[in-house]
Amino acid sequence: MTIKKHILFGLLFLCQFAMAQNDSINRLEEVIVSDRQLKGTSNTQSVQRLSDTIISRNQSSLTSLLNYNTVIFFKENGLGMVSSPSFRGTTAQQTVVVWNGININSQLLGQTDFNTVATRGYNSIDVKAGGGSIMYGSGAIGGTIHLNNDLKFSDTFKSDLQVYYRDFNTLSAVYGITAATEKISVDASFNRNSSDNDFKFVGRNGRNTNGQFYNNALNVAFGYKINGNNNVKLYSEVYDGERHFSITSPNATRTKYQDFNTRNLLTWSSKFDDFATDLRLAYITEHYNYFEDINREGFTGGGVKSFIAKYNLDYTFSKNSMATVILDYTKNNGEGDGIGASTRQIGGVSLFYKYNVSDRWNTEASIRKEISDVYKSPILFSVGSKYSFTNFYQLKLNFSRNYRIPTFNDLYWAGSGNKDLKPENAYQLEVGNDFKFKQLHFSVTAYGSKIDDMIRWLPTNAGNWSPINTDKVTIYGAEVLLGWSKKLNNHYFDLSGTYAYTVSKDERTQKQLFYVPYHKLTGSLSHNYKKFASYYQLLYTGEVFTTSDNNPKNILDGFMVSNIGADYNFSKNNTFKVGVKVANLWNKEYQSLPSRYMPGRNFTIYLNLNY
Amino acid sequence: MKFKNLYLGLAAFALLFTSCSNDDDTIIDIPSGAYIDGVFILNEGNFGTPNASVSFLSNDLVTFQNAIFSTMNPTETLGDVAQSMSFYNDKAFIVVNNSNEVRVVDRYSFKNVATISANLENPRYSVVYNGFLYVTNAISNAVTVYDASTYAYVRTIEVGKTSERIVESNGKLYVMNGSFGSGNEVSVIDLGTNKVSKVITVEEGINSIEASNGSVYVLCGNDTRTKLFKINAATDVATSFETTSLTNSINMDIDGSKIYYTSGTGIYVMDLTATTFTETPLFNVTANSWSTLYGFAAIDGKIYTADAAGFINDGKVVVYSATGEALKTVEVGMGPNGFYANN
Repeated sequence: MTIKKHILFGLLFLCQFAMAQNDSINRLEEVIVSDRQLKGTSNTQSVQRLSDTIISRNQSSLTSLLNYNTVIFFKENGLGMVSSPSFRGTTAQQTVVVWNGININSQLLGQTDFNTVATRGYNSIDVKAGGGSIMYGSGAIGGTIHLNNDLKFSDTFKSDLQVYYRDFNTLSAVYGITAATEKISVDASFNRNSSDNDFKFVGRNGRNTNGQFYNNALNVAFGYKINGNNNVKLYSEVYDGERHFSITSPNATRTKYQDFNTRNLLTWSSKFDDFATDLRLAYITEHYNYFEDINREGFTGGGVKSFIAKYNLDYTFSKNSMATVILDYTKNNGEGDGIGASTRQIGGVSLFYKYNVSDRWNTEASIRKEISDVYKSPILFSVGSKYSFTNFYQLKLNFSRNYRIPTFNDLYWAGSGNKDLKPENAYQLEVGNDFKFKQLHFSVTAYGSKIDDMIRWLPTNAGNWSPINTDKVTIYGAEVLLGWSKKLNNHYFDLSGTYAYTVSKDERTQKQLFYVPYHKLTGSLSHNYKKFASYYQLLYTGEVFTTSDNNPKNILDGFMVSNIGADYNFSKNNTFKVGVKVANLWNKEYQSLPSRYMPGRNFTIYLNLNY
Repeated sequence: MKFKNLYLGLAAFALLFTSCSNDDDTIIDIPSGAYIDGVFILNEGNFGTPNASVSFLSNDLVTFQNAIFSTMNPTETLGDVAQSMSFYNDKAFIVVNNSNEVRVVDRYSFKNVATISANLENPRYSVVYNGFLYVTNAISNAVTVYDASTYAYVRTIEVGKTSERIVESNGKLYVMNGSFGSGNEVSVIDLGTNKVSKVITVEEGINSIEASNGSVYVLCGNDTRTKLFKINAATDVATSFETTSLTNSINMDIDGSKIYYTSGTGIYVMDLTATTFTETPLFNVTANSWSTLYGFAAIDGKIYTADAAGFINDGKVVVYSATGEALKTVEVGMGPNGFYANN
């Protein structure tokens, strides 16, 4: 695939989108990147920031937030149930969730379940499309999601309470405190979500059964400036959740699943002369219990405890050139039913170099080599360039090699694990075009990638299931991100939207991967007038094949759903906001997986207090 | 216990691939209500999704129809993981594992008759004997008993171990205490006391059990050997022979005086009276996916193979002659796992 073809392809979509602009929606904020490594390596790729305003206007799960605001497609086993992403046509394990700079994908499953991340404990969430995030280790093929607890060092004392009450006895509440001086900064929040989740199906008999869930998350971030050149930060998170898994036939055994995750990170950053260093020590635990029958006591469980150490050393050669060396070490101890007790150690060295050829032309390159006691890793790299032709047009290019290592379950599952698995391997090329005219920003990114040795669990001729390096996939597509804002007297309008066209083909069969829609579109429009705010959200997901032969009888139809909301701030100087939101406004029947129906029209009332 | 682990494993990678439910085309190729002199093909469907279905192929391989349950019962859903089937008079019992149901249908019209759900906890296999339906259950590790005419629950027989395939011989029940390639025991249930009277140790890798002429045949296969046990149902004493050149043999099926089995992609046959394994295959099937022999049966000299296509496509059934000539290939439903003659 040539670059030229991609640009042409991208522009083609741009035209279509420009014409369709009137019906579309939401907002693309200017990217302000806080994560040190994200900042370092993202200049030549597309990064979308979701601010706290956007976070608070969406449901509290990461699935819902990203589904309505990004190009990522989700396979959701019903509301609040297991949810896995497909980012740029890739599999669920090829998207990495990064918490304050640390990869937190499950070591057992290789992926994050996006319904076990409560979004309201973070100040911002960044979405980086594509590979090239080689510093975050395994899995960053489709893209990375960055959960950020940002700390500010200026005199502040604020407390914030948000309570949302939704149909189906759904409660979401978050209480947060931000306190800071010039030297010390603390940001803490407690977040509770719970739901009976027993909604009636739209257009058919019955209701969602055994779908109740709750989760609690405590987030604390603490920062201390030792002096002008040194600071330490401590981040902690505890997540405790229980979900019953909704059933698809009336007499099915009722099951439930508990997650208990802790994350602790200590960082020490210092600067001296032309050097800057950053030491990160993290201790991450994940644990699950699965109750195969809620009426019985028995359950199976397992977990992984991971220790991660990362050391960055930056050296600034000149205004235009900078290099970083990153050394990292990860040790995972897994233990549980099915995997026994297993340990894995990974050491990595990464080099990153950034060079500004001129004010208009920036380049960057990185390279990484890992050494592990379990698998062989290839040399990974990413090279990129950004050129600003005019103040309204930038061209970005990036080429990278990425991989995903087998999970603990893939390797060690009793009787099934395959210790000979190779990592999945991917190459990716992307071309991004950023445009900016006054208050309108938009970007058109075209990309192509090839992934081989994809791991899939298959029934074997020995009467068992086993993971196997089997598939080769070619993916290409284009993404459009749009943001526009306008102030008219006291009226402030904000529009944003995303659109993705994705072709993800199995090379052997030349068929589209199942559960990858060709088209996905999101949009939102908001309007503020004095103390009154209103917003409208739209999500369109095109049809998906549900079998790999693309048999037309196994298609899940596309759907379009909308939400609308409004709130009013009663307070003069602070926030005392009361609002209402209607989800699935047109009461559409839809599902992202067969027989996993989503709720019809439902209402939320909310209260936000900030003093 | 591995079996339970597998469930968890399945739940875990239901995250990754969960699949289709759309009804099959309802093109009727054969007169409805005439499902006789043929073979039912059970398509278990995707775990967690109620898309199980049943196909029918006539013995002369001429007429074929998919989705006969939904065709004959348009308002009903068969359920989630159709595991196995048994017959009694004019009725067929379809054990729907993940739905915790046994669907009772008329075996000739395939009209829905009743649904049994009482005390079923992950039901796996069933057998009818003396007017009673006996169903093995994976979660409760027990056999639940129903009146085969009224479908009323009668009692539960505790097994206390993995309870998988079940056969009857000499008025006793033989329950395979193993599944998914692990386990090495057979529990014998005395129907006088409704208790396990004996546990017979066989070889690790127990996977098939069949009753024939007063004996119960048990096939075990693991990475080092394949072993066949013949249990005398009068004395419950087992004799055995083994081979180390064939490993992980599975899919034993007795057809008349022959025992068929598979190892890898090879189909093998030996006499019911054999004392050594046949180590040269009758023929090999083409391994075009990793699940080519997910379902297997030998019926009246023909060999039926079901390729589950990795559960990401509708499966494929190929019927071979005894010499390995492909006689018929049909596309069936999702995850074909077994064949049941209906004559």
